[in-house]
Amino acid sequence: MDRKNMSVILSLVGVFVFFLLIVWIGGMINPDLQLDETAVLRFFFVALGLLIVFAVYWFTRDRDIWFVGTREVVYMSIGAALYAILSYLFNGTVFAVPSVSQVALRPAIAIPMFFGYSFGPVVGLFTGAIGNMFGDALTGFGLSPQWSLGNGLVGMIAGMAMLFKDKKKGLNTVLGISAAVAVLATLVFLLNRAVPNMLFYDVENNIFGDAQISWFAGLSIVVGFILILVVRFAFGKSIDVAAAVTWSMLGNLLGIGFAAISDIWINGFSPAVAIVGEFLPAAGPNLIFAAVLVPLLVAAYSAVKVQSGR
Amino acid sequence: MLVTWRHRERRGSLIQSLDPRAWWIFYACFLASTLLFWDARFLAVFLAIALFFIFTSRVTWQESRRAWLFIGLFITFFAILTFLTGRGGVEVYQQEHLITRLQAPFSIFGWQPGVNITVERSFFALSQFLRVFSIASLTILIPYSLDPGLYGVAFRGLGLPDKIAYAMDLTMRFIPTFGRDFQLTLDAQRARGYEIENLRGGLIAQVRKMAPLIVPVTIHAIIGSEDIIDAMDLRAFGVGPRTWLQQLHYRRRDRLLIVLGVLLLTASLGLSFSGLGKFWVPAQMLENRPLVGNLTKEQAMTQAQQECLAAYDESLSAPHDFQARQVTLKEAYAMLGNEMAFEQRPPDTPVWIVWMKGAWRVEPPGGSYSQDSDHPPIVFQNCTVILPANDQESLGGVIVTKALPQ
Repeated sequence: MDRKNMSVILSLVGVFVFFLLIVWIGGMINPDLQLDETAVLRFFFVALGLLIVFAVYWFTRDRDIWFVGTREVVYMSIGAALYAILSYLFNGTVFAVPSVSQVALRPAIAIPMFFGYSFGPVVGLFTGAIGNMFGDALTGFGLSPQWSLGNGLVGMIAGMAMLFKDKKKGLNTVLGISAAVAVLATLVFLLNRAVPNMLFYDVENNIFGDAQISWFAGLSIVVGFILILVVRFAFGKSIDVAAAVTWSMLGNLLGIGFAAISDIWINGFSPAVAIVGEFLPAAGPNLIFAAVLVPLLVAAYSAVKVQSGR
Repeated sequence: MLVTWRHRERRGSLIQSLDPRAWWIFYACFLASTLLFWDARFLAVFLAIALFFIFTSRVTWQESRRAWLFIGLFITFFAILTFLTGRGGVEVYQQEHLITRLQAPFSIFGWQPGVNITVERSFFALSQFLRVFSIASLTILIPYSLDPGLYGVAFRGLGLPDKIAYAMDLTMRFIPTFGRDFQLTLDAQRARGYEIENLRGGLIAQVRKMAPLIVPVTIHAIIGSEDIIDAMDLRAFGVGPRTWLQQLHYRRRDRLLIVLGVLLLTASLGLSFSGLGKFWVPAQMLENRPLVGNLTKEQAMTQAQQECLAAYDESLSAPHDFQARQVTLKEAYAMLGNEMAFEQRPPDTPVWIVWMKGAWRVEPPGGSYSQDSDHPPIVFQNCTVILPANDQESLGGVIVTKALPQ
């Protein structure tokens, strides 16, 4: 097992170093080799993301949260298939997705959060990453592997809740980190009010990702955070719900953050555009789904668990 | 609703005569190679490859019509979106050359909707269409031509661990099943008066109202999975290394396909690293077309020179002593000592003000210029141009000249 892990890590590090060499040495000789000139950069970020996953795994490798048995294999595939179909259904071509003040409703993200939290980080990672890939394939819309991996991270981090036998432990730390990220992103928003909302398309009114971000979209992360806080403390008795929403929030912030920040290099966005124009309108509304749909799923699943005696 | 997996044996189909592992490798190489290019000429090659596999696949229009229509509409929609907005293009081109500007004949609150049709936008939309269409059409082929019984062993053969390969297999098989489950649940909820197309209320209320669709399908899938888990456990899944019912063997054509795929990727990487295949527009289309959008200092000076040339009848000597500064419109007027109205633009519009010296001839008011001359030519030696600095809606430059007769 260890030798296998080492070889995987070594090959990832190899890919990583190979690209760094291309950038540093190749870029000096030939300006075309600077990675922002080529699409290869997105695979670099996938390798980086996988390295992060491996690092997390490495530090917690003696815990049983990484165990993959029959149950996990089936849950992985169910989660990925559900996520793929839901993102296909709610991408705006099958159902007209309602939108409220520049925020399009894409509820599919609740699936990797719920599967990650309920069945562990491996299931979450597979659900998010593979589900997003198949969802993209169903709509035939290119591929951005760094966003697939970002979605995988959402599920994986939601699953890290299993690290704590007592679910109450660690919750406040997770809340604190999330609050810090939310406050930072909101500060960036307040300092860069004029950035367009890259994720907002309104065909009827002739607005295509160039409208200035609305107050609501910009502050949606605060709204989401407050909602999660409300759920966390209103359902304080049902610790499962509280832990699910809190960990989902952290997963969402870090996973979507990873994808949005990598777009600074991949798409040549300025940091302000990546954070205000992409991260906020994606991660903010996701928090609202985490706060509303994830508790419903967790509650429904715990009822099923009681019924079936598991 | 969804693309259901409609695999069946097709006689004489090229793609079905290939090993699925070889096909996945080729597909991955094709995908990665396509992403490297924005040049419509290169992308046309990829489209040709995709079309070759489609026309040799023996998948009929009759059975795949729905998938093609859906994807075709989707891609066309996004290509038009790109065309109208220039969205996404900012990464690959810095300046746009205007072909024409479509202006709505009405205005809403003083804003007149309009679209700049530029050479770059048109070619970017074309490239995007070619790119996405090539990828999508090879993707459509997969459910029609790969045997579902071979999904798992193919992924295993590609080097994935047993369990992950089996999870991928199950995922691909579950997608059509859950698609049907969603449709059933949606119909059942509609019969109870639930309308997903018509969610009302505030944001949170709307999100909550999606639960009747999402929760039952998810929970039902998890309950239903018990049977699958039991069946797999009964067959000792994951106890030892897995054996597969069907074996795959590479044949010569499979190796050939893999070699072709790897060659395609290496050649693409080589071309891309040597700087080829970037966004391309035919050079002859750019001639004599005005620029749009954010101007750099150099662009502002070049364009100002063209504007001066166009404003007079002839340039007698090459312009020289350029000076350019970025200021607001108000400041520019202050410099010129001029109070003229500026096409209803707000006074804080950023503009380039460009001065240059030279010699430009103008026809005298009374008649045509001739050497003898009761009507001597009027020669101007200064030209000053004000250009909007970052106005996507503007049509090239606006000239103010302050020039003294010789």
